[in-house]
Amino acid sequence: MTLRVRGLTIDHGAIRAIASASFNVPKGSITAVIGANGAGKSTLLRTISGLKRATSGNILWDELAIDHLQTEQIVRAGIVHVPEGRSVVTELTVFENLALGGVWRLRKNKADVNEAIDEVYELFPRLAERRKQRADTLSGGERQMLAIGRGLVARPQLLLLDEPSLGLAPLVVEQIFQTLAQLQRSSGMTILLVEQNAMSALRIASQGIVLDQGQVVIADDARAIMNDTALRHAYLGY
Amino acid sequence: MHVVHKPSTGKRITLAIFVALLLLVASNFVDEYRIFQGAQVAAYLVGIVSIVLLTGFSGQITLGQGAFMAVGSYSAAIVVQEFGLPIWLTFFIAVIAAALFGAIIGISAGRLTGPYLAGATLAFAVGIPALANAIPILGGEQGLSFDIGYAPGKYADTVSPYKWLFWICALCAIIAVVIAVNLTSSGMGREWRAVRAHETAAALAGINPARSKVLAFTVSSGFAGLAGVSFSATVGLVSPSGFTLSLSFLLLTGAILGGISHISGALGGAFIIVIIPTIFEMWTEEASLGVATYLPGIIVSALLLLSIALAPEGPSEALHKLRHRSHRKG
Amino acid sequence: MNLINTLIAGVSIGAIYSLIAFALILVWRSTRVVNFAQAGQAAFSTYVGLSIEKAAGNYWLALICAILAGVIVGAFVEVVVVRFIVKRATSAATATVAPVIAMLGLLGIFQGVMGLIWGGEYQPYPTAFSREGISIAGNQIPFSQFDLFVLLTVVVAMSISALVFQRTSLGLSMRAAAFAPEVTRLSGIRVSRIRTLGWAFAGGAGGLAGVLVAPTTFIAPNSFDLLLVFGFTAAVIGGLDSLIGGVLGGLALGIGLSVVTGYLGGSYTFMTAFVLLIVILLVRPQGILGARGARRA
Repeated sequence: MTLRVRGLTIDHGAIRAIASASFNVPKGSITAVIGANGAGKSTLLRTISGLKRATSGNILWDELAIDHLQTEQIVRAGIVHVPEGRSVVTELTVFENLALGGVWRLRKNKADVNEAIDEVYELFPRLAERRKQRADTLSGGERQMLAIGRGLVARPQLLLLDEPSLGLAPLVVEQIFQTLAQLQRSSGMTILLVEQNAMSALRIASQGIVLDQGQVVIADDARAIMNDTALRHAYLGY
Repeated sequence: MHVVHKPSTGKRITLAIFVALLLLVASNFVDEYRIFQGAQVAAYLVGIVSIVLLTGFSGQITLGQGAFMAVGSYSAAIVVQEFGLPIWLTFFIAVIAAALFGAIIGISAGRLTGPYLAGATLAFAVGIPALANAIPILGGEQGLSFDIGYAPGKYADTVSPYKWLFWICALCAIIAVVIAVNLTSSGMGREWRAVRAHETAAALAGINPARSKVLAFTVSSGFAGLAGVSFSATVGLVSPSGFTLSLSFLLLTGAILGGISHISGALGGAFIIVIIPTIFEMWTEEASLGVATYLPGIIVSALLLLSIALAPEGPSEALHKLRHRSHRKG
Repeated sequence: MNLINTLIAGVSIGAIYSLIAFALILVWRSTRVVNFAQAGQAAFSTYVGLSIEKAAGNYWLALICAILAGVIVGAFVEVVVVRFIVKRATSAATATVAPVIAMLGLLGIFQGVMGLIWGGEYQPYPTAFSREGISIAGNQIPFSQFDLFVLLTVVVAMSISALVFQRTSLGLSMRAAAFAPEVTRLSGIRVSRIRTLGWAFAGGAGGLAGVLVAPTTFIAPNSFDLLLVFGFTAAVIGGLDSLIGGVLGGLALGIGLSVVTGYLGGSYTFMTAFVLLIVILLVRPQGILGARGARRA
């Protein structure tokens, strides 16, 4: 399934966050959306997952127009959003956080939810060790793993990841990105990754989209963007 | 921003004297019951002004204004009963007693916000009547009598008691409104609004938010004390059943319906809460007592709910914005 | 023996405070609104129970109907009123004040409607149990069969809720939605439906509390105002975010006030509760029993 964004415009009150953005996220790809702070990256993801409404434009999930669906319906269509800031429910245990990701499909397929939770434990063994601990006792990296894990329990076809590297040590970031790449290869899932840490993101991505002040300035092969020095200087600052 | 023409204090006082004379003349052409209702409007008006000052200007919600009114009324009734002071003096005593009490409550309440402040003031409104019931000197369920008597000297025969009552209450209301308008357009009023809008920003601008909030509580309670003693004068009695939670709610409703952020809205609010029950009394004269007793309350509450749902900042505010918008368009 | 008697006397009323605190906290957690209309909802449910009792003469049927009425009224209030208010009151200046005033308006409507239907006078509510103090070894203690029934009912109700909250996916959703509504929505859970359920449960708890307290306080449109204040105090003792804290807060308040009443006299009961409420709000706004930093207004 392919996500197609067409002429998407999003406003925050009087401020235009995204101006007429169009791009595709092909099935089975890792697409990295990169750009400076305030470029509108998070707003883009929040609109795709239905937390925010677009001013105009369309978001198509294959044939399905999802720009007017509720967040819960979008999750059911196979698109799961892991927002920025290690978004876990700190008052719940690790296991409960993971189980939360599967509640909506518990009645349909309880066995598969349990299986998905076990797979997350295999992917992130640190979570398995801490399954009965409250999420607020976890380290930053572990919380990010838990947030991603909660998303995976929903068995998404498209995973929207917002700044998974934010505030984490470089080693932990590397580990999480490698796990994501490995996960994508083994499951064939599509990942739309929003990152300020452009280097790490582009290294695992197949496609890159550069946002600057709400505009899509480049949508190209990830490697091509990494090798274009002028472009890197202009938009990515390194 | 639109620039408001601000009249001076002198002009306001002139206007107030003119209104007073107008009312004095008008009261000779209206029947006795309407005059009594006029006194009610005046008493409620002062109560609503006290809420507008506290909630509208200082941003502190109060569900317990009836409790401060009770403090004022009981103080007035006690000094009459125990020391036999003249009635006019009791109005001052009511204001001072309620203000002192408000200062004490304000010191603790000034640190509370939103639902916590609401809960604490609600507890206060529920508790004061219960407390008054339990303290012997306050006369229990029967309460204390509070009779402002007849007009003095040779007027006693020509001026009816209701007219006398109305004049006193109206005078209190006019004085209260003039003071409130002057306060809110002074530096103090600006400080309150600054704290309401953004406490931290106000603090950075050199305002002490805690002091400003306690002051607002004190001033507002003083007004509530005056409202209480006016209210008791209309009833002729100070008793726990006069200061129930419904009174606090009724005043808050009046404040919201009239427009919580303008002193001028208080008059409209006071009219609404007096007129609605009257309309139902006239309509349901033949109908059952229950309808006349409860329907006005339901209507007033529904109005309150609707106005909050449709215009969270108050209907007058919404109208103001609407007018503003059409101005810009036109 | 005297002290023990006073302690015992506070247990069953404390259990009722717990129920009200439970209802207030459940709503606060799901919607960040203190439901001051709960006093009206509970009284309405109790009147429904009383009407069933009068018509059918069956205490138990009346009890169940009162709880059901509470559930329905709670859900109705959330769907028809609260959802709309919360959506509209978005600016910072009105976000905290508007819901409070809306709840008051609702309380006024409830009390007026009850007055229209059932009249304003205080009516007795029957019990299925003796209200005479039980005798133990020849000594009568201030704890009746009815008190025992109240206590057991509350314990059973709370145990069932604890099971639902800790062991079911519905409970998991409710807890998650209370603390992180956005993450819960992103997990595919219909948070608005969860919120309605929270109000419904709270309404049921209020109805139960009403039927249990009405034999003591009698029932009138505004007879539960004081109960609401005590329930709010109990919830604040518990920290307003913790259900267990609220339940313990209710018991502690009931027993504490019973001691005050026993030694100082009834006129100090309310004063004590009020001072307690203010002191806790000022000194420990996160509640005595609540977790550190649990309060997020």
